[in-house]
Amino acid sequence: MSLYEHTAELFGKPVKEWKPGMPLDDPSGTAYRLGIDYDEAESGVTWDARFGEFLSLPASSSVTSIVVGAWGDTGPLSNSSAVVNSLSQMSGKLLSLRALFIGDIIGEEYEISWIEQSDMAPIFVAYPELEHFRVRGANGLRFGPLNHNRLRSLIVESGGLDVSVVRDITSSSLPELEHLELWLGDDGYGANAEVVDLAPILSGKHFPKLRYLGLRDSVLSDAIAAAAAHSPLLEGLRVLDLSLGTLSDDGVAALLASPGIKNLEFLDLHHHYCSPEMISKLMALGIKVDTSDEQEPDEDDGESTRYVAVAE
Amino acid sequence: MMGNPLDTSRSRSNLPVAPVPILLIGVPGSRRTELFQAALIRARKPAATVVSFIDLLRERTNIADLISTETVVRVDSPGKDFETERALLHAGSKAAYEEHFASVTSVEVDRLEFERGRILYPRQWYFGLCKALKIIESQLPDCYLMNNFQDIALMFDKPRCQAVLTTNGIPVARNLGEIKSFDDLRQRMIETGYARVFIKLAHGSSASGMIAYQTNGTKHRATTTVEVEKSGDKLRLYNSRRIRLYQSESEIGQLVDELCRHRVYVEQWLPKAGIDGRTFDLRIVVIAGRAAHTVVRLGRHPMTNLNLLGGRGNLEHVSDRIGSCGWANMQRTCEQVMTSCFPNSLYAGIDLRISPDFQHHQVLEVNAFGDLLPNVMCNGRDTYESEIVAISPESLQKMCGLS
Repeated sequence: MSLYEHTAELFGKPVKEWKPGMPLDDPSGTAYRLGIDYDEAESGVTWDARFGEFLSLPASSSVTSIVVGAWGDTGPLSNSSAVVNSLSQMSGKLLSLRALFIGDIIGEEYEISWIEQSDMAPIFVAYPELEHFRVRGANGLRFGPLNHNRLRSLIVESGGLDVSVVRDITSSSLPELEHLELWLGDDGYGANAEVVDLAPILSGKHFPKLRYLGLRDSVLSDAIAAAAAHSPLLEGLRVLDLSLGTLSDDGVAALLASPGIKNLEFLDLHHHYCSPEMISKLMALGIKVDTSDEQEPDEDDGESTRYVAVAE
Repeated sequence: MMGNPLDTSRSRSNLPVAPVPILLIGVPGSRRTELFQAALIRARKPAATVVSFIDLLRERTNIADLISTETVVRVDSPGKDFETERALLHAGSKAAYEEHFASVTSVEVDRLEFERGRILYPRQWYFGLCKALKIIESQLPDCYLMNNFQDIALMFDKPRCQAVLTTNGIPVARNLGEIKSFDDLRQRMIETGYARVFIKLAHGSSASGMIAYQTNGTKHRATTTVEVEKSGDKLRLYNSRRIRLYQSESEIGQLVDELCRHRVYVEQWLPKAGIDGRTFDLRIVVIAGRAAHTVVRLGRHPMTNLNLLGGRGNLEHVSDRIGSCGWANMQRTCEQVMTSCFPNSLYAGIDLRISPDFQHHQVLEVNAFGDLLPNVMCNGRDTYESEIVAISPESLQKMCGLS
């Protein structure tokens, strides 16, 4: 699978592609997307110019949500440090910014494993009021660790997440964090975190307000399910999201044996490798479960391989 | 500017009194031929006289005996018929032999056996097609053509076609020209700064022999419809319906080098928009100067092509995203392709790329036989029937010389 469409929504707000000349007529209700389309990059449009024009609109100070698309290359995508720097330096203008997505880039533009990110820490220093943050692509990605008192949502989308990013997050102080989503990815694309690296999250102590945990797109789905099944976190969690990964009957068996699983409101397992028998047992739990997008293992040269949804 | 092809009152007044006889050069019994005959019946026209490429090329039939002064000639696709392919390779062998691209002698053509998907000798095939057009021309110096023969030949010479589109101000992907080898390709990519390119056969149809390649200098990634197989000390290329992914530079190099033997050119890989969870592009058939039948071609990979079973998407979803003004611009571009580059052809199927922000478009391909869109209707008619009703002396050209 690849990612085919720009995001239509950012933390509940509809996304609107912003182009120069367009008024910001709904700065609090709309997420504005700033991206340099390939065609624009070809004709010389730069991120700095586009961002500058956006900021020149007085209403930009009321904008609450921004989506950053590709930042304007026609060759290999440069890393995001220039975007991070400009956003950080201009925080005095974006006074209302609460939600930010850096890297709304689809596979047709750059495959997720080809997106070069950078250290996001300056963003969190510059925007102490930021509540939602999402980033796509994990090459070069770092977080600090973070020390941020307002952040409620953190989403990291990758095809292969380096353990250093996981450790940055698990050693961050994010007391208000309610929604954490990590796309762990495939080891062929740089995923190297072990379940033990996720232990601080699963302990339930590190992020006490966590209500939504997504450990998605992982080759470790079964092991994660087993660890999550006995996690004290389940007491407070509303949504456990193990979707896009390689979950099989083993993982489901662990979930079914969990005393806390029925406390969930929603168990998202879509894109999985489970049998219909196990799926019907899940359905009998009495909670909402998404078991759509059933996958078949790839049988090649006598070897059976289960792939995550998004890797390359 | 030509009239609306679907304005029947106008077309009718211009039609000759007698029903229009059509001579169809194609593959008898093929789906295209059957569908075209069915469209003639729906349009209350007499059935077309069908002459096969094989008979034409062997000059078994003197087609001059089959026509009247009102006859309209339609040349359709030689299709995927192996005997027809062989006949075309025979016809192109002399011209191909005089060049350095991969070719086979007539004796070798006779020895070829059918293998599903095998990419034979597209350059030689193209020469064979040109030869067929020349034979028709020599036998029929004075008749009406649905599509001009120079135009058909031009549409099947993709590098030249792209150059003509560019000259006429049609938006296209930037061209890196013809390449000789993988090393040559890498050099050009460094010179131009492009990280993502399409490598295409100069004379391929559909997604035949196409590679989408990207590199950042260290990582390499090629998705392609092409498979390579070793046969003795030689390599054979096959089109596969399964998209292959190659990530090793040496494998990609070998593939590109092999493809280069058949004449390839390279253009920048423009990212395409997505809709309903897939990548898409548009096939728009322009008939008598008007953008008509339109299909959203969905795919999970860079090769969005109907023949790859990608499926069709919802046209309304796409037009809503593009907006009425953008949609009109896009149609205008397609119409300009025909009016400014191919004014003597009644129809063609144009592939259009839409940018991910739905604000830009480029013409990817112009397909001479790109009007096979069964069951796609425009104003109540399918493509073939729309072409038939658009036939009028003013919409068609008389034979003019094939260069």
